[in-house]
Amino acid sequence: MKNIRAAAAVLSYLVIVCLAGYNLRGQLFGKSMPAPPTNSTSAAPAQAAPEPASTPGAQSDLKSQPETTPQLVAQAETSPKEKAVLPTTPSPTGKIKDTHSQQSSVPVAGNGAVDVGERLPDFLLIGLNGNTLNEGALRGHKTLFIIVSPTCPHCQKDLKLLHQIENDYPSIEPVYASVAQRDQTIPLADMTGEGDHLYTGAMDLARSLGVSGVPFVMLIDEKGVIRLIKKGELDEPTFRDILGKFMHGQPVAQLPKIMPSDAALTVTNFFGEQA
Amino acid sequence: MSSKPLSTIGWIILVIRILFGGLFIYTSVWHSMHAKEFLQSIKDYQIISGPIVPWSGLLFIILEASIGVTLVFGYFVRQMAFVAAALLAVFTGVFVSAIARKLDIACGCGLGDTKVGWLDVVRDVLLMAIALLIAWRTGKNAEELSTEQTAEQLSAAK
Repeated sequence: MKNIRAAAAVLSYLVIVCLAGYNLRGQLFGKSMPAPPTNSTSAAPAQAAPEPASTPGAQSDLKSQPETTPQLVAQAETSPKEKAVLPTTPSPTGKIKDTHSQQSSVPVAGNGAVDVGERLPDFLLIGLNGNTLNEGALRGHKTLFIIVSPTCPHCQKDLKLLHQIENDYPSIEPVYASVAQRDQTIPLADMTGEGDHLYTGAMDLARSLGVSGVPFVMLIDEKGVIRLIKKGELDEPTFRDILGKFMHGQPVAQLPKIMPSDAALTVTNFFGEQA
Repeated sequence: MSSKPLSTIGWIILVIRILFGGLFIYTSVWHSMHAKEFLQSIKDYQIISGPIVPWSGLLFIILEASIGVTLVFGYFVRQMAFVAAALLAVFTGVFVSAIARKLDIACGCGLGDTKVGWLDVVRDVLLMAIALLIAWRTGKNAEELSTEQTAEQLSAAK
């Protein structure tokens, strides 16, 4: 009896620890594997001028947080290692070539940067309805993922616009991740009618991706791979163009670097440079 | 080994101890099965960061599993009850810290991941009290409350 008890205790303990070690192995020993040496990018991120994330009055938006914390500095120092695994040269044709049949071969964004062809790092967002969303939940369907700030007028415009047109693209799941806290995000939901798609808790994710301005628009495919990145406010024709093509699996053409609606934003470019 | 029959209190403590240990086993398994969410929860608390996060996650799971298995199977009950109380005290402090900083994050406890709040603090304080109760009531009579001893009692009763 004594031996059986001891054996059962040891066995159950080992099972749990091995299970934990197995599921954490990627995080413990590094999870990014080199991508195949092929041109797997669809379109380079448009360098449209983003709205500065720092809008007065928002205590938790991006700019109000020190972007050069030791943690971020340390992450930035290690970023080339992960970034080097993905070619960043845009395809001349702008066509999507899906070479990421194996999920494990897809590089993971983070360490202060994100690029087309990568997938998002692990995150956990909390919806205004109390539901949660993690990276794994993005798999299996196409996602329009936008990082927003409630006090950003361009985010408000984008979400109002998307609220009107998103029903035209039923196979694309909208996810609007707010860098602000719940109390500050609720007015944005009331203003835009997007309460069902608004999540909070995106500050860490935004930092991890090196997002310096909002709105930060990403199209993510069924495998969780980022297919398009756009910074700054987009107008209706642009949204309809990229969403329509994305929904039908067509290549999403790269936009001009400065969208008409972004022109005014160049004055307030976060980096103070001409996009 | 003593064959002194368990008192009513002893039986109650035994049941509480096994349930309490089972809870730790459950949370360790849940955290193992949802490792990514668990690590994200750790990061969300913004207390530790970088490569230490997955290792601390593994340490938490190992601690939970150790506490759960030893309490359920009746090994080092008193010592592990104190460890459990200490771990719960740490968790309680972390919760209070998150609430004080007004972090809008999930608890990450594996017990219905709702937004961290005072309910989590109260729950952990209660669990801490249970751990200390187990440690106190076990005391020098730890062997009496072991599962093995219980089985012997049952056999003797038959």
